[in-house]
Amino acid sequence: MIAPFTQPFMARALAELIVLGALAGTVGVLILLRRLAFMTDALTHTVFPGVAGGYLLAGEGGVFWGALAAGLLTAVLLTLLTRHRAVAEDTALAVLLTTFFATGVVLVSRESGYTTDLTAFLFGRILTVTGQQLTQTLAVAVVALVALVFLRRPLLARTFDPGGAEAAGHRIGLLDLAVNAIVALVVVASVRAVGTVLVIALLIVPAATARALSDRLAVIVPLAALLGATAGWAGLAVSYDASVRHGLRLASGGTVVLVLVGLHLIALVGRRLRLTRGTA
Amino acid sequence: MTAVDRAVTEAVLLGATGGLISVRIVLLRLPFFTLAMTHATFPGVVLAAVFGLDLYVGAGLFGVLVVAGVLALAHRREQDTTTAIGVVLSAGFALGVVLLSARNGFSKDLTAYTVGQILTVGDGDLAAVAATGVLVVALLGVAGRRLTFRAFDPDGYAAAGHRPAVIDVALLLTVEAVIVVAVPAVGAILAVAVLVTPAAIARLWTRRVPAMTAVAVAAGAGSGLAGVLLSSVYDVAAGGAVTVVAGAAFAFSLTVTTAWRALRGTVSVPRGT
Repeated sequence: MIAPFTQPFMARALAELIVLGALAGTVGVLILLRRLAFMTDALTHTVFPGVAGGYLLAGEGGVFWGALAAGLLTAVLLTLLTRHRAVAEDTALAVLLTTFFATGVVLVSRESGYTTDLTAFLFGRILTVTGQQLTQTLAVAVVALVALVFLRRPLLARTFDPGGAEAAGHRIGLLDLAVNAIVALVVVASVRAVGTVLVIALLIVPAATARALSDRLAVIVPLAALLGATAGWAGLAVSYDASVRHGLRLASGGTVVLVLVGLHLIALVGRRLRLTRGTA
Repeated sequence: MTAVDRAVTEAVLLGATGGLISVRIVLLRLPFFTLAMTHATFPGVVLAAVFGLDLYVGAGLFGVLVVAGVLALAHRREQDTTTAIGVVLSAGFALGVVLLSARNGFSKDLTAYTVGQILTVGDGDLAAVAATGVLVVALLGVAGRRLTFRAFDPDGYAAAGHRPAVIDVALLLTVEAVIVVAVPAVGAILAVAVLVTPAAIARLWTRRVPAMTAVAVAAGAGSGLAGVLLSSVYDVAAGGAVTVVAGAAFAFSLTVTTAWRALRGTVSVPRGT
């Protein structure tokens, strides 16, 4: 299970997945507590027109900045739309998600052979991660984690007691915007390497698994980060092994998700057993 | 019929059918469920392709499983339904992606399943959409009032002796049928646009269910028509164009109705006090 990672491209892929897994696991706990799964899914799709636009305007180097612009723009739009009274939150999210994603599809479909670009966006290109991308990911991870540590008290207050947080003088709208922006940052950092499909899973599944295993926040956060990183390593190893030894090509991103979902199911069964034993 | 004629017919029929059912989805607050159902239908489409089954049969059978899963989640007493839906959604999509990646030349197929290829629909696809449209009309004709009752007063509905589970299953199976016929035209990711956006537009203009349904059908069919025509003029992906037109119509409606309410609000305040 270690051998494949002696090759430089596999080592970089592993490093990227471990950083992203740990980061997404941590941020995922916030998503879990605030029940923002749908908003997260919307963000993973709305970044796409930024990726496409950035690529069309400035080539490979424009992708990160395009995604960053689109991610922050949607964070603002989502915060505003979900506070608009005339539209139910989930409806607003569904409309925003599909419209932004479709804009990206329209943009790339002007190019010939766009199917490859779309595939890269959905699956990512984890095996071609460059040193520069790794640096960008690390930078975003640091920004997001610093913001989380800095804002942890107001964010927790907002989560568990919105009325109390407002009374204590916290600005709810700004806090919501901060959460959306942090999630957007994680999506932007990961989307080029691992694709939309994997980002949403990394942000939701490890936190849900950790939540099934423990009720204490001090345990859930590190556990979610650990689970995210572990699944990244195991999924990569499995997909490498399948393609090299058995000639079966499995998309690495998808394999990582299936490992995560497998761990989640085990945790759910474990929880069920523990609960029934507890009541008996 | 030329390919563009067929595409226009497909888009208009699908838009009208989606518009009709979308009102129920929005009133029952099911957009996230619908999104999860579209993503979870994706592996069914891939499996049908891998085993050479008819797309509608494969995706339809898998879709029934999906509906069962969604209902099981909805009826669970534990609180975190959103998270559970999120897990189902990522699992379904990843499964489809992994299955597809094991085949050769998968990027082209993937595009067809995720964003659709409306220009290649055949007469069979048109017939399937038309049949689904009849199914939706039948459901609303038989149970339209009950669905409204269920949406606005779930407790009263159960107290009146109706069984909520029966009508939920009927509605979700119908939604799944619309998703399955929407996949060849607009793909699994954009199917949710057909199923939510028309009602989102209509709800901004009116609160009355019959009027909302009429506006939603018009919005669905209109954006289908405009999207396909725009896509053939500017040579862009049709599924994307249909969705962008619908999204633009939503943005326009939101701006106009918000401005209208603000204006009316400032006028009526002096009279009220």
